[in-house]
Amino acid sequence: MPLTGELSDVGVQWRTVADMAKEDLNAEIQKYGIKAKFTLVIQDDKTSSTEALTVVQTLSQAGIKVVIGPAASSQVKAVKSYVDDNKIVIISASSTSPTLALPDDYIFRTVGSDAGQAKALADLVNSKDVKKVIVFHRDDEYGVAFAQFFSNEFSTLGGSAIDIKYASGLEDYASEVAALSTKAQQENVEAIVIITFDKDGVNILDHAKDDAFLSSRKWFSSEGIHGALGLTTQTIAAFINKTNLLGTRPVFKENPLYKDFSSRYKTKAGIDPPVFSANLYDAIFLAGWSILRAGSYDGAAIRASLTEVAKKYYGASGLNMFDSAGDKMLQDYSIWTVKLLAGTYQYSDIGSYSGGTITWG
Amino acid sequence: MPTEVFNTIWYICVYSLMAVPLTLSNRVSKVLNFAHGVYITLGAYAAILITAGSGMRISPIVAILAAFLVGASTAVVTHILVFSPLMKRKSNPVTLMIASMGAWIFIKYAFYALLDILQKAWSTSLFYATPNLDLQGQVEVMGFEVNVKFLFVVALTFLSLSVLALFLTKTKLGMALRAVADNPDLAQISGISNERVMLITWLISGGLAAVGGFAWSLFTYVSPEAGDIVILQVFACSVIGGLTSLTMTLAGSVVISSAENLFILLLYRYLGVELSFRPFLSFLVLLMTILIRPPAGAGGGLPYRLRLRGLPRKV
Repeated sequence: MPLTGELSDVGVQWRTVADMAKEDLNAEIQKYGIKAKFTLVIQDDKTSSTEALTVVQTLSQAGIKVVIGPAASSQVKAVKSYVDDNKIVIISASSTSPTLALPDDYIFRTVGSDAGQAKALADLVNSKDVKKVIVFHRDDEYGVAFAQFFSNEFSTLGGSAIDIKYASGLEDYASEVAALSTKAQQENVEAIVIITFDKDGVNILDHAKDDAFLSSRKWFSSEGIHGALGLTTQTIAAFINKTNLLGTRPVFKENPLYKDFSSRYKTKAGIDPPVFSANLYDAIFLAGWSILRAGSYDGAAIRASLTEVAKKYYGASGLNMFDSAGDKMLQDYSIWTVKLLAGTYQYSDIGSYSGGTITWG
Repeated sequence: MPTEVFNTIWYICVYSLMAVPLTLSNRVSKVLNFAHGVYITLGAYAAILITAGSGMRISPIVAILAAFLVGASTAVVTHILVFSPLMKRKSNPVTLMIASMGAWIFIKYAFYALLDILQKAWSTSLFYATPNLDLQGQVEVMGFEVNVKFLFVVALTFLSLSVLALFLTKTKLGMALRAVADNPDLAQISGISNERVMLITWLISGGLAAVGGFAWSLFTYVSPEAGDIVILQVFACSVIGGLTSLTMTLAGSVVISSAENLFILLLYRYLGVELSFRPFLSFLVLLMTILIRPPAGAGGGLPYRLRLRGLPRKV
């Protein structure tokens, strides 16, 4: 789990989700009369690819055969060859890069790939009558792939997208935002589309709010920044409202199981669950049931069992059936923003995207 | 005035506040201090912790004093516990450098643990924060809309560096510092207490670096990694100053800040160089500087030899 680093805002919140899932899973197993109990071994991978590999190796040496995570696509890429060689099942609840949609490996993802989200985001931008944008994105596995798919989808809709990438992992992006502003004015774009994680995203919005031209554009975002605590602070939330920032995220909010999970999480944590929470919750349940149904604690057996269990598992994140690449086959999206609710700024889902149609409200 | 110029000036202020004390501490104590980054981080967090803990806005003067105090005391304690015993045993500079790395790791993770405890106790996010100060709004300067924070930091930098310069050139203690830097044995004979000078140096060095961290926290949100991520750029500025000259360090911060904020944008706009090249640009500058004008004692930096009359000559 990324408990420190660029995804640490959501990483820490995911920890609560993981604990909830473990309690619920154990309770469910008891109900069936099975004499087993699951415990979670949680390790911080610092949102770093090298650290993710170290953590997976450590867990593997401790005899663990199923690992939930890592969170970022660049991290999943880093552990892939190790887990394939050592038959360790990886279930990532938040890696979405289409470049990792590969069959016959030990990587499973309980979230639809960004190929689908790029289309959702492109449709959203288009629905707001925007034809010319700059895509400002991370220079990593996640950002580059998303930007490319977005540009393709957006072109099919008749729009044009200018690509600007920035180095990930830096402390401050003042000069990148200055370059963004200059380019945006030069090309007279109507909107900015950002594809970021938590820390870099907050830093970018913090600098953008001081820029007059950028504050006058419309802004759109992927799900990467969702859950970052900086977005609910007064100054940045005001910027979000001024620019009508809208984002997409992979969740189907009309699902009754999601509504139940969401309200129970809110009782525990005080705020709505951030992006990928339901996917993580389901990932833990899938892991638990696959291990029990595998017949033996062996990587290959668990992998086979996982595919079968997932086919019929409808959980908080919807139907978890995997496609041939081991990624969630059917993914709907919701449209989010930050609003003033009951005196504080909070993340709010204000629309849904399903099968190419946007429904507001 | 375009944003790039503003950003460059911000960076110059912040980098010089961080790099000048690094050069100073290296010049006097001969320790290449890797714990310098934590002084920056702690300084950045001093005001944040006060405002987050009390829930109030504080005056910027209080914030600066808090930062200075935190940085100065950390540096002094590190010296007393780590560097001083090793120096008494006549350890060589490499040992001291490695010891400083140990201090760096220890302090950094102790601070992480502290932040974690405070974050739970106060139920606010502390891992990415900015201080809540009495420093809001814009003013008009020469026809431009300027942020009050910007003017404050420029004034702070100018005053701090001027005070430091006056201290080093006009006061007895300051001249004693430079004497110990140039020739410790001769200084000792003339009655200057080396240990006292070391403590003053660390006090100034840690304190000023912490103030630099505070200035950084006004510009952007900071995390506990803040000091470590900027430390490479800060070292770059000091290396351009040959790790001995304070004025050249200041020049170094101008060069590195311009590279990061102006050159990269010019390269991007006119030569189509990718923005993600930015971190490499500052290190390219650093590399070229080391090759053209190496720091003292490294492969024969002649201009600096003339200043370091007292140091054992390297063949």
